[in-house]
Amino acid sequence: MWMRLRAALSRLLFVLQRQRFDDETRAEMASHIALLTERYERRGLSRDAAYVAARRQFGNPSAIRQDLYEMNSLRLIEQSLQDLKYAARQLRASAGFAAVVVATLGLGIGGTTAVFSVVRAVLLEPLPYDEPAQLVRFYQQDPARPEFRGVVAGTHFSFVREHAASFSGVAALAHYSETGLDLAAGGSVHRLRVLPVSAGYFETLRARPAIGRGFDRTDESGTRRVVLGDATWRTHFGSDPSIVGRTIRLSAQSYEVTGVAPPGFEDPFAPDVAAWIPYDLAGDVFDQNYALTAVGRLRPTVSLAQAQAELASLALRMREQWPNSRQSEIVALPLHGELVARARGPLRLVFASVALVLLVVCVNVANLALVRATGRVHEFAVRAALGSSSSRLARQLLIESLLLAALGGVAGLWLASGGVRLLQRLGRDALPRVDEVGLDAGVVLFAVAVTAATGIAFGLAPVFRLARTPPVEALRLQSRSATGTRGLARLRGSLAAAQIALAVTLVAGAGVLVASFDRLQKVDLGVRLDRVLTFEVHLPAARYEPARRVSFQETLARRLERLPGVSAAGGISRLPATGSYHPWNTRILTGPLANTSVDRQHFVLQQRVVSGRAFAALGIPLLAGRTFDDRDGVTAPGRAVVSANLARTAFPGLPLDAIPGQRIFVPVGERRLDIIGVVGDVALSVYGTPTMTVYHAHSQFAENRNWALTQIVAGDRIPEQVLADVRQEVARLDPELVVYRPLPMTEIVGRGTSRERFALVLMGTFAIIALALAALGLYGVLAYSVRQRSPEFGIRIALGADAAQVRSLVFRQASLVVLAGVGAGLAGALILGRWLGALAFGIAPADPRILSASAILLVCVAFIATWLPARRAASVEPRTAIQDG
Amino acid sequence: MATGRDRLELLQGTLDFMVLQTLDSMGPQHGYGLARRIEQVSEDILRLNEGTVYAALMRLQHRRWIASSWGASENNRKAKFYAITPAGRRQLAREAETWDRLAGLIAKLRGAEPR
Repeated sequence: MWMRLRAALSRLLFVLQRQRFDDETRAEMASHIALLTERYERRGLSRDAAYVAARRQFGNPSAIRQDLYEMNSLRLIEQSLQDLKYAARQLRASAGFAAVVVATLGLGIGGTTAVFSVVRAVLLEPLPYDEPAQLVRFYQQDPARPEFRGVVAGTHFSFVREHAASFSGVAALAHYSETGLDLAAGGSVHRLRVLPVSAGYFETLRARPAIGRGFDRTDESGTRRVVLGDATWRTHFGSDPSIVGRTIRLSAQSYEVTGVAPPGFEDPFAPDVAAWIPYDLAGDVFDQNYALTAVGRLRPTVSLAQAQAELASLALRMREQWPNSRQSEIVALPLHGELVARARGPLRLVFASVALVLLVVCVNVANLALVRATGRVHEFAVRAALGSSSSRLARQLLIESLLLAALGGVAGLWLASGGVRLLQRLGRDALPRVDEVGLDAGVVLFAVAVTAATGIAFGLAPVFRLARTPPVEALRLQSRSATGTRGLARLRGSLAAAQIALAVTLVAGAGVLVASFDRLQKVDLGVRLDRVLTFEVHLPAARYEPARRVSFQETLARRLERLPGVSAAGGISRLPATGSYHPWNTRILTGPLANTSVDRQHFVLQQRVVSGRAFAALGIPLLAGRTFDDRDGVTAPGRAVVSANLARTAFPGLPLDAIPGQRIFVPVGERRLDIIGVVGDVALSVYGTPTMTVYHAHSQFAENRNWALTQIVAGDRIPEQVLADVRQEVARLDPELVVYRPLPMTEIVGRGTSRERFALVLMGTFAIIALALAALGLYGVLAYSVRQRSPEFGIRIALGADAAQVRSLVFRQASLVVLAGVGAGLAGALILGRWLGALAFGIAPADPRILSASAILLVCVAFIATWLPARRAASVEPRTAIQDG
Repeated sequence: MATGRDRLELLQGTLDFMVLQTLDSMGPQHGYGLARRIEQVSEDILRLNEGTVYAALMRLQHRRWIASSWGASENNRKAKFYAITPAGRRQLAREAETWDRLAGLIAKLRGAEPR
């Protein structure tokens, strides 16, 4: 190694001094020849004869100087530089070709790089915590139904914390109870996203507070303590280091600040958490209150398998302790995988699509390069005849394509930097960790690798072609000769077919996503989405005791209904189609199934609390009886409204009219309820998952907890317009309240489909690009071949062929390419279909309608791409064509 | 003077070896002097374009087996003198051994008694 380095260095020294060496050598050789001449003169030759003899004995001085000069140069590098200069000249000479290639390559490289940067940040980068591989997430499950994993009950979490030795730390995160607290600072009120967590939260994630401390077990009885996020501390407390130990007011209650989280620390699940408070684990004693997200850190010496074995051994004891809890098993899975699981499918698909586009781009550029190469057969033949070695010529071609690729790579990086921002916006709701996406050294390295690979990939085709053509043949045939390029034409035809195949694959994939998305949009969720505004108002418990909460909710709804353009307003504890919430068991007290349970282990049973005229605002129809009104106050008997599904399940055989008057019992809050009405069903998710719901009147249930109701305002004005009036009304009721997260209903529900939208938009874009490139590719092949065959067409026309016959010749040539391409593409679509799996909704990835539609689309586009060259072929002027030929 | 047919073509590397050997036994030389010495020793059996000596000299400089410096020649012309370096001497020793063994091998193959 050292020797080689020294050799290279000394070589460099010679290179740097070679001009001086050359001058010296010239002088040396001149004097050598002079001495030799003198010697011959002394032997009696004439001066001229002596000189000739001396020269003969010495040899050719300029040839030797040439040898020495080359000896003193870095041949490979210097020749490559020469080639590069030549290549740059060539590209300048054909700027149009270069621009098209650079733009296409830029598109391919840019798209791939942008998507890769997302894939890297979301799927490949380790979590931003110390020793992230040790982190696991716990799930609780029924051993009989391991496919349904769920959040963990506080009781079981505590048990694992006490007994499992595999973990150096465990923590519970109460994302269900994550609400928010109002911070009054600087004359205005800010709502902070606050997450209740157990002791050990910061320790398990190894994010010990920068100042102060986290929570310990004495805090787990609901003490009012808070750890501030770094940003909150800086923004609202001026980075005051003496904050620890001080008391701050949050939602009109006092909290003692115990610490400040380290800068940049984020909760693994909930972004933008502004502060953490202790979770009341001590009060969470109901063994079936599955509400906690639990994480743990494996001890360094314990493998995941060992930990899982230990957890399995605990299941028996947990079953003994809580015999009623069917979900008796806790499992641990790697946290990273769990966080990105939902994003993995769409991302893999999008990455595969963009890789296909890059392939199409390469094929397209290879095709363009081949066209150009054909025009240069002559040039290369001359160079070969003048003594360029074939490896030298091949290198020249490769350097040209690498130069093009490099330019394309630069364009690609530029596009990628914009593309990343676009992807971030598009993927905000669909992907975890999307804020971490960026163009860093790794991504740039990837782009460089892709660029080099594409440069070589599309550079190879002309290299094989040109560097192998024997110069004599090429010179004789001239560049235009069709005979010499028949193989080339076949190669270009197969390249065009490959492009069509890739385009069919992508179009079919995008077609499946479009059809799925369309079906998703048409899913009947059972609620009104259009012109509905939603927002949250959180009532500080300190100032709002239950009676005041009730009057606030009802007054707010009534006042909002009086706004112009508003038809109904109300509140609900969780909006429909946004997932499961409060799936409590319910006992049936009357009817044929009296004294049995509607068991949430077997039915998707949901409980909701409503205020105002929530059903009207949500567009849920009343089917029998009545909904809640002023009669259902605190003093009235407990009443419930149920959904039609629940009515049919709990009271089979009874007509809906007979449901009002039936009775049920909900253990939470010990509520014995008279059913007063039946309403339409709503979906549990955007996929239309059926569910059944028990609705409670907020006015009767406010004692149970400080319900965080989402307000719904429906009318004929668009939500953005109503918002200003809504803010005014809320401020008039209580100026310290915050209208939190105001969003149109369409957007809230739309978030459920963000994953599908993300995949659809990207794959659709890629499919369109691939389609356009394939059309271009086919057009290029045909246009070129028509130009080459114009003498033939001319002869045919001269001999009496009409336009249609000539056109059909071109179409016949095109149909071969298109058929091969479409066939291969459909096969590709079937393979890609397996990747679509989870994203396809209501349609099979191999649905024949999608496949045939894609094939037809491609054939139509191919027809257009063929039409122009065919017309040109038919309009060949026989005389000129034959003369030129 | 031998006729063209009788002269030997130089094997690759032979000239380099001869230059090294000459510089070692005669001390620093300029290009012309080297050519004369080789001519004298080879007794006209070598067909040598004397210019190729300069290529050999450059190759040897690249390997750092010889070093060059300017000086005055016998007849007071400015000339570049080449001298063997310690590394060059070591190389010479290695090559001499190779040559001897090769010569011995050829001799054996030809059935002659080794010298």
